Amino acid sequence: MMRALSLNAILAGASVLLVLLSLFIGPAAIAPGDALAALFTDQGAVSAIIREIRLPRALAAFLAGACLGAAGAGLQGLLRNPLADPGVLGVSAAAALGAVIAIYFNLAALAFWAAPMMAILFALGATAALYALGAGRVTTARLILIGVGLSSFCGALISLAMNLSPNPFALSDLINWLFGTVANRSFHDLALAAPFALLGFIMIVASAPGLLALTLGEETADSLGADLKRTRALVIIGAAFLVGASVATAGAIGFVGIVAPHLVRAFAGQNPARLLLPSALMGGVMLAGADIVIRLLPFDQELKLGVAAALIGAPGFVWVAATTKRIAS
Amino acid sequence: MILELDHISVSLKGRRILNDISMSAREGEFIGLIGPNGAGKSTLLRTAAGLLPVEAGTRRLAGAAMETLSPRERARALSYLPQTRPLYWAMPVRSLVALGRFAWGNPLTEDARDAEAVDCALAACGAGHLADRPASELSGGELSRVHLARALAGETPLLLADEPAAALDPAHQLSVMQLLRAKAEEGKAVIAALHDLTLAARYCTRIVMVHEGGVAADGAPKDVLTDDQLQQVFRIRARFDAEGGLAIHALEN
Ligand SMILES: Nc1ncnc2c1ncn2[C@@H]1O[C@H](COP(=O)(O)OP(=O)(O)O)[C@@H](O)[C@H]1O
Ligand SMILES: [Mg+2]
Repeated sequence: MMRALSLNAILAGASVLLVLLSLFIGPAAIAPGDALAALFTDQGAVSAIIREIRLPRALAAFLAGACLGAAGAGLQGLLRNPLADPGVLGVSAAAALGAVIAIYFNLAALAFWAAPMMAILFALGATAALYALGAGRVTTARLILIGVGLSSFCGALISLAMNLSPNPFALSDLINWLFGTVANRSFHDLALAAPFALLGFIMIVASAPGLLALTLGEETADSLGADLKRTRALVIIGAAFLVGASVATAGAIGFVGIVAPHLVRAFAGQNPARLLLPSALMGGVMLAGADIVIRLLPFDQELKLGVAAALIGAPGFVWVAATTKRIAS
Repeated sequence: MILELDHISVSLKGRRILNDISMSAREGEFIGLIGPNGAGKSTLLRTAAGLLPVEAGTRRLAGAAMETLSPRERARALSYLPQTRPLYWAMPVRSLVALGRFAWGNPLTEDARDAEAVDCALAACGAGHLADRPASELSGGELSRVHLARALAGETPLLLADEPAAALDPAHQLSVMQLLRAKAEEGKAVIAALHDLTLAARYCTRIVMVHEGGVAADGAPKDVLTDDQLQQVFRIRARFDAEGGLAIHALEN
């Protein structure tokens, strides 16, 4: 309990620090002191850079990571599998497909919110389909298998869209959505995603008692008095909102949903009900930190945030997979 | 009457597993559910716990139709110890047992009442000294007692236990049977699937013999564990000796 509280405090502190640190980095040379002054008082052009460009970018990275961390922790609790993740269930792929369709059919050119909105709608559609296909008493193994199929199918449709893409600009947009980036994010983008992120987080947190009971398996959880239908609905719909919000903000970024809860378990134990908040903070810290690192790397073209996440996260995923004794029943 | 099963039929994957079973349990009874492997004991317990839907028949728990109870209401009336007891996340023994208090108060916090029930249950199952050990590092028998403590921590009027004495050494088998008997004498109803007929005969107040998805016999141990029944259902020969013990021999074909 004390450990969980202090872990949350440390992670929250790290989040604030990283967001502030992120304000000091960018092509325009602005001294840290000037950057802070420009954040809190009006300094004209410098304030515009700090408030309109660097701050939304830092917050977008944090928000995307926090959404993925919370969604991963919730799905892992529901499926009792440390490898479960929005990617495993096909929700991320569906959200990315939504964004890609918006771009391919030029919806994105009609309204700036079309791509993010489609990402959220497709994440919801994917989870609703998951739920409907396994209607009633769906087993964990079946949920994961359906997710694998859904994921492959959405991946294939994304490739199809890229093949058929009529212009190279669409292609570069597609790459941004698929690899994930928070460059050039504005408060418009954040305002669009934040309500869904908040709603999703509240739903995931409301599922905490059910997740705790599921530690003893579905049958015992049921006998303990956990409402499993409600728990499933809260986690699945909550994760859809979170993933939709994350993909809308930063595109498809993998592995945060697996690695963040796994790191938290090392410090706070495995109780799935107590992992939700610290996993969200850890996910936010991871992406906020990664977004600082990619801007400090001496490359001509900035590394995509999702590529950096995969460079660290994919080996982490293999590590978790190789050291996990039990894969969902 | 805490539990009434009235002409219950249950099918799993399209196959009829329980066929027209009626039985009931009242406070103070320790009912031993016996029968060969695959007879339907576990299915009967899961049905009684409200975890499986019935195809026909009615179930009443503490007077209310099972289907009308919320999961939480049901969990306050009965606790259930399954035959297989998975544990998906590492946790200390005490936290595992505290899950038995899920339906009481806030499931995420432990109040004084919860703490008392958890300590009591741990002590009753002889697992008090294990409280701070990680549950994943216990022996099969130790873990089995911890799970029983989890079921007892709910302090429900009905306890359904599927093979609570399996994997236990002889001394712990005896103490679990004594414990279940004592719980019945305190006023609980206890229904337990058992394989040791000798222990069942000695401790149960009543025996229900399950055979091929039906009730083959239901009554006092002496009336159920008769030569005829045991030959037909278990393919064994047995007789009560002068002290009320049961001597068992395999039937020669
Ligand atoms: N989930 C299930 N799906 C299909 N058949 C099952 C299932 N569980 C048990 N059965 C079948 O039901 C019968 C009774 O099983 P069970 O109640 O576990 O017996 P017991 O506990 O007396 O050994 C067996 O033939 C078994 O194969
Ligand atoms: Mg059984």
